[in-house]
Amino acid sequence: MPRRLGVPLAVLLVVAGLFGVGIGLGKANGFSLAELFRGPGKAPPGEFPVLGPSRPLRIQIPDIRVKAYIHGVGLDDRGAIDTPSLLLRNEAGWFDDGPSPGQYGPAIIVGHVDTKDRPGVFHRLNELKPGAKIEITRRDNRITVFEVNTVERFSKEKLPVDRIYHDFSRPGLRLITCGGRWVGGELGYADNIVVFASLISARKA
Amino acid sequence: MKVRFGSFFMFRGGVGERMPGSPGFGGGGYRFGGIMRSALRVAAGVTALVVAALTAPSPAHAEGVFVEVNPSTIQAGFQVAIRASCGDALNNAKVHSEAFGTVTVEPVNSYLIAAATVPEGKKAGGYNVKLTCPSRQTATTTLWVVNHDSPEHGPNTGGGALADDGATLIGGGAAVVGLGLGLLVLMRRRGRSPLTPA
Repeated sequence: MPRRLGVPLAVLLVVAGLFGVGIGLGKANGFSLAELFRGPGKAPPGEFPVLGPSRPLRIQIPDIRVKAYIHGVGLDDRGAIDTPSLLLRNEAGWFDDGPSPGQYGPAIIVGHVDTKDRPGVFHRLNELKPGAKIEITRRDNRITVFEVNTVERFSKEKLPVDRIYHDFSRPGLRLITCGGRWVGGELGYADNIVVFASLISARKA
Repeated sequence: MKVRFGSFFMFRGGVGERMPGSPGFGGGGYRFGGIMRSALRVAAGVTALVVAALTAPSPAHAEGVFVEVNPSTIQAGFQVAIRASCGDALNNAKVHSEAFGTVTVEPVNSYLIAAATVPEGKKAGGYNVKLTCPSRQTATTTLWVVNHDSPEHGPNTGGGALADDGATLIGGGAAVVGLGLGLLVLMRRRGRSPLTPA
């Protein structure tokens, strides 16, 4: 092989290889590129409508092509919000002891990032950016429109409980799925991805 | 007792909810000349007065008598702010609800204001909140109480299909680096040797 070709090729291989190792190490530690390019958070609005209680039926997030049915979930034995059965990987679960989307307080909606062999309804949740719109259709035939404020990742054992579950200052929405490092066992993934969003408008379906 | 964000001061900012009985006028939009306009206004005013006198409003929905709670949905154990008016805001009035009992609202900045705490064990549901003015006029609103144990852990929302421990990338990357380094060494050796043509 001629030297003037061989040396650059060797350098290229070294650089590409180091890049591969870097990404691999990142994956092993739950690092994600989406988090790097997400941009700053978007402040919630000063004015917003307020609605009464009504069950959410469907959720739509155009930016990450989510269109799914919602059913009610409660708490499981270990005091975490229950999740939809793995068989319903394309459905989301609304924590039905909490506020409805549109009421004051945080409406909690959980969904799978994946099952044992396939991606789940919220597998692209991590790619959402501040400012993205989330539409939720309620049983009273109203569509509530939420805007993403921030997308954050927390260890499952160190969730900021107050910020996620106890902010009754406005009608809010929390979308929760799994993320971070895979540890397996009971826990599955080590972290939760939480999308914080606020109601900006409501309209008739 | 836990006090939450949404309380008192949110009020003043005029957050979303239009309160019943708050002056929502200001629209209008007709533009006439000076005298004509004031004449019309007077006429409209008189008509309104007559209509008001004739229809004799029921006490429950009297003009300017209202009560509201903020936030209108609250977790049991937390506090809400109450704002009310009896048309004027000169005297104390009573606000009663199954959710928090009876509290006295007091005049502050042209509204009647108080705070009330929903006890920790209160059952979830909608509760009537009733204002009774000294004039015996009343107004009502609804306070929604939610009551649940706070989830302390995150939900298990994954099965592992997308999990990637990076082993392939680390291994593959390392192999490629090795290959590159090997090639470099080879090139250097060749370059030194006078026998091999460059």
